[in-house]
Amino acid sequence: MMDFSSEQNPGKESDTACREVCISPAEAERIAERVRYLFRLAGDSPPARELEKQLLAYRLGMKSE
Amino acid sequence: MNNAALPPFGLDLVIKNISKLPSPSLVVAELLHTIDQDDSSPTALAKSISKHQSLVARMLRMANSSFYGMPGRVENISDAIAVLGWRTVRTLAITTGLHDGFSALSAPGFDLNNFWRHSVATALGASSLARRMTLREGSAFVAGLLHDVGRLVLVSNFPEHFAAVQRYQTENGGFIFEAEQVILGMDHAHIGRLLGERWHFPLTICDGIANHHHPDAAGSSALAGIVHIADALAHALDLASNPTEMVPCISQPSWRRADLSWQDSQEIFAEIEHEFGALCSTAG
Repeated sequence: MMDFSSEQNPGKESDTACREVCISPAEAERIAERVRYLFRLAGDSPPARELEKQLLAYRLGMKSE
Repeated sequence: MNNAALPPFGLDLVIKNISKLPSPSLVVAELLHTIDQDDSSPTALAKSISKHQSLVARMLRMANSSFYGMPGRVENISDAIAVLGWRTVRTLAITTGLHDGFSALSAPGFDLNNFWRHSVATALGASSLARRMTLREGSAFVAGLLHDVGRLVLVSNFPEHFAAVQRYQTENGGFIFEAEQVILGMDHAHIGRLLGERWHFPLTICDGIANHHHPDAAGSSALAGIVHIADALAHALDLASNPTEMVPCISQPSWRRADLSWQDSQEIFAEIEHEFGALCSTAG
């Protein structure tokens, strides 16, 4: 499962708050699950991992890394 | 049907079938060869477009749709170009030209609407990437739009082989181009290049089509790398309405060349999604 902690995305307090307001935990989990599914064959390369992280952030409404 | 029962297939047959397809209209040819030129004087092209009846009909229908806020008020091609914008006109012209060129574009397991949704998303991504990399945006857009055109050749001219590829992928997993390599000995990117050459697409567009799954191949251009990354972005954004959508493996050198910051990627995602709806209705 994708780690949404601030350690992975430092300086995310306000975004975390936004997620709590804008996206329910169940919806966030549904989004994360779909993103994981989309990347199921993309391999473990740095570009795939980076794009997956960027896409998840976009889907969850995070503003910056 | 097992694969041994398939009709013959090979490079010669593909070339023969492609040779039998009607060439794209003059409008498409002109658009493809002027894609990176200044669009500020559209008179000549408007004149060419006016000779292409199905394109004129689609342009006027679209310009008069409620989406553009001028229903019933756009009466001629020049006004339609002004309302729609050149990107939409190009997309309309190219997709109309392709639809006219292929006799049948339906096969079990193939959804033309989803095909264009993915193609449009890739075109928008390629355009956005090219702008950031100060490369030719128009070429990138068209290469993205046409990157999977080889699949249309398979659907239209080799439906049994297309079905066998689909079956192999369903049974064995992996990517469609891998299944094509196993069943056909070549993939849609190769077939797309053959079509592009036959239809006199610019060489950079042919290369973008040919190498979008292998952008690190010897002799491959920067455009192939852009289409490769744009293809991955389009799959990642999940815009094709395909429940079994999957993001392909991403070339590290191409990814490094694109050099997308966090901010860049968020902006590109937003740009693609923002423009996607309007252009999709164009392509369908």
